[in-house]
Amino acid sequence: MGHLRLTITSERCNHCDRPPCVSCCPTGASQVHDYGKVVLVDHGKCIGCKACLASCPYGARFIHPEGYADKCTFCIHRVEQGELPACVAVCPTHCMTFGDLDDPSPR
Amino acid sequence: MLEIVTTRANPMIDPPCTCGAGRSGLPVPRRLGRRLDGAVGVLPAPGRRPGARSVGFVLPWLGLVLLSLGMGALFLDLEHKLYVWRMYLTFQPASPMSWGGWILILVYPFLALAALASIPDDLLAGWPAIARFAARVREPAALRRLGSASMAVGIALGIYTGILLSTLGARPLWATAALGPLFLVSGLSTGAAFAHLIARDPDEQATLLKADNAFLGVELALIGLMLIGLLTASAVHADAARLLLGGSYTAVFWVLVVASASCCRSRCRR
Repeated sequence: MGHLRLTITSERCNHCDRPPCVSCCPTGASQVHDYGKVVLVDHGKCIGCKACLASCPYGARFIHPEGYADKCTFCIHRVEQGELPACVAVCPTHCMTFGDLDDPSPR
Repeated sequence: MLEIVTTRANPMIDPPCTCGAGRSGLPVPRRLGRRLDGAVGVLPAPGRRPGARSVGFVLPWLGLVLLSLGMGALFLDLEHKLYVWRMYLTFQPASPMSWGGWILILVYPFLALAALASIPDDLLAGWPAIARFAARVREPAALRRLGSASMAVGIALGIYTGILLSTLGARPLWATAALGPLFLVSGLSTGAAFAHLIARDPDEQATLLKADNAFLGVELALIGLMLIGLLTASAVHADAARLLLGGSYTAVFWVLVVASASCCRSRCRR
């Protein structure tokens, strides 16, 4: 009789403190944004070499149909306007929260 | 233990598998490019002017062709091809791929100078300016400097792919410091075997055969050291090593990579 083992693995971008996808990028397209240290990709600089795809331990990166490497941006365009990321905003069970880990008070 | 792995598979979110991508995760054009680059790593200028029968006479020219093929294969592997020029607008010291991109470009002038030095004087009779420049390159001191510089860029070319892959901590099988030297020696071995294949001079053939055997021995030793290093590291690294030692890639690696390459090489020897 086998044993059942459950492993929970994050497959989203974790916006690492020392993101390997940023340091391996040959063009500087992968970068850490000033706002919240969010890891972003400058599409106009990306050559689609896929080094960042291989370096990501979570498999969070992918090639956009237009050719550049892409990933979760934490909906930076919304967050900068004071809104929640889209996945958090639409989650029907509110199982996701968004905020600053160093300042948990505003949730 | 029965392990069931379920994971998402949304084609609009997750990277799809393509026919060009092998199970190693490196697409075929990139693997081809790396191999050609490795072979070019042993085709720098000699420290002296080669004779007409010497394999050193044609190697710089073949090096230019192979390097261009390798560059072409690497270009085909890019997904955002029209932006490739971005690679050469910056230098990212922390990125081995950035180092590699510049090293590939840096090899060209050294190969071109070596090729120029190998052209017989009578073929340059119609181009006095080029002939004068070639004569300067052929001066013994200049040839020695060219040979030293070519060896340096050749070693950089051969080793950078291994260093690039070894920095990818997300892939435990590649995350070993032995990978850089392994790629270098593999490239040297391939280059020596290729040069031996086209050599006509018996002395050169014997020398290249000895060199190929030596490189092959070092390569096998490095593979062994790499596996020992992985097996004695953390659990994920040991698991990665077991893929080649009884795991799902064992037959493919030892039969199609190690054994077939050795057999193919011995068949090519005369």
